Amino acid sequence: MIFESKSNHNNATTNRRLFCRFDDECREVVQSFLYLDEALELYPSARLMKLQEVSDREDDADYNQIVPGMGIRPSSSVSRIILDPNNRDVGLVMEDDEDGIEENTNSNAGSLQTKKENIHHNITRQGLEALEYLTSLTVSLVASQSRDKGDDMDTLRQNIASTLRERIGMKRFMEHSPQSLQQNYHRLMDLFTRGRAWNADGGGIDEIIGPGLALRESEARNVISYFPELCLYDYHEVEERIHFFLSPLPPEDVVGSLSDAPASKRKRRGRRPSNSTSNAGGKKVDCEFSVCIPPSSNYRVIVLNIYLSNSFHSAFFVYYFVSGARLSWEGFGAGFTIQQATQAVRAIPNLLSLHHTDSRKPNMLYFMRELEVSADMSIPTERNLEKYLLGTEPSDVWAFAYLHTLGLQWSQLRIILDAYPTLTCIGTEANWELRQNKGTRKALDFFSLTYLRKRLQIGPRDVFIMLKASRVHRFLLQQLASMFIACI
Amino acid sequence: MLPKLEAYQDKLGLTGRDLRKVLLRQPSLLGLSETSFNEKLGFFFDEGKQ
Repeated sequence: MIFESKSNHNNATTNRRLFCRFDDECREVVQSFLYLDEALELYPSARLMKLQEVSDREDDADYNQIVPGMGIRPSSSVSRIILDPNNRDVGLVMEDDEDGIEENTNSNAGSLQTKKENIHHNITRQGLEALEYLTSLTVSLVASQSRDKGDDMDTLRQNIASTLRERIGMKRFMEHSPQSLQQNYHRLMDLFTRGRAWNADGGGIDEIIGPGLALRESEARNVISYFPELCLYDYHEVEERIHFFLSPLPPEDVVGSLSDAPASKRKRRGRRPSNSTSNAGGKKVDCEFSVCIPPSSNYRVIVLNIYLSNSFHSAFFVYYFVSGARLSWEGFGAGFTIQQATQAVRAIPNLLSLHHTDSRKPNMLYFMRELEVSADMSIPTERNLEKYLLGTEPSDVWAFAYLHTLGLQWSQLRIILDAYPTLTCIGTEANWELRQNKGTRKALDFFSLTYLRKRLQIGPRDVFIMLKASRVHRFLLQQLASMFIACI
Repeated sequence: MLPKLEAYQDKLGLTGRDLRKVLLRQPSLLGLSETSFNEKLGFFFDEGKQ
């Protein structure tokens, strides 16, 4: 069922209006916003919902919690808006398993605090169990792939545990339990292998079971052991990405408009949005914002979607880039073949990354030696994908050069780069302009750059230009000052 | 840098989009200390009042 919205509003946000059906539960994305404050401006009486947070204390260090336009502390930012006297109708609701605790309730403050502490304790314990389970799972996968059975398993386990804790961070484990990880693992194994052709005798090609990749079981285990973060993702988002890879290419005029036209000048389809929406039968339903802090909140452009739902506790976590969402809703995608998508994920599992922090790919030597990507490929790749790859890690260039060698066109690569900003990893190597300053380190802080990227909703290219411009600006000022002093 | 953007947005009353525009046009703001920013802001406020 597709819902439509109507409105008399006339402002700049209307050009990002979006219809997108993303699950089977009749919850539709009807409009998307670049920033939360823009959404609140257009819908001042909307109810803000947020998921229960694990801990406020770690928000500063958790860059996946950033809500563009609202800073890095979603709870305090949302509270700030609630306290705004002009927006009396805006409320904050914390979802709770038992009673539905409302944060803006003043009564029973002591019991509320105790309850929150209990919840935090339980979630922390659950997170540790999840870390332990993922470590065991990864160890078993690595051991099953290894030919040398004489490895010291304890050392291997300790190394993997410390790597996972450092690379992923405890907070993401707190959203999981061993059961959820196991369920995700089995679903991923199914998704990665269901694109293979089967018949009753186990040989030949009769039919393909369903949309998915065509990895062998051992290859799928290898992918997950290399990139265990996959087990922490919402399975539906991984599936959605693979479907997007495999969906047919859109007509050429749509591809051209995506790659050339700025977002504000894209052709707008449909009517304008409104505070209230009507379904196909004409019955009015309420709009609700679901301000969630899901894994996918790090997507560059769409972090806030409005969902149509009659259910109060609706919170869904599928977020898209505008062009990717529109294409996906219209049934189009990047046009990979199953073989191309399978080979791509087998070689570069980070293509399924949902977080900026997970998108760091293997180094250049891997692409040159293992995948035998020609050194000549880097220049045409940089030239054709400059808009997306400027300011990224050098390995990103090689990764997309490899994808091109699989037979994928540049336009197909532009489509996936447009749709999923987490495919690229921001580069941390300081350029010569920055190194001229004695106080500047050789490597920039990855998390600060990622923060800038998400907080301002910009790509690696913009961050790169910002850094250069600021340093060159200072450099020119210093030059002018020295010239001025010399003249005196 | 992290609290700076919050301070810019709060003190100048910028939306998320405005903040992006300001920083993309004047990235040297990222290198400005909070004290310097407050001094500059105070200067403009004082001048404006006069």
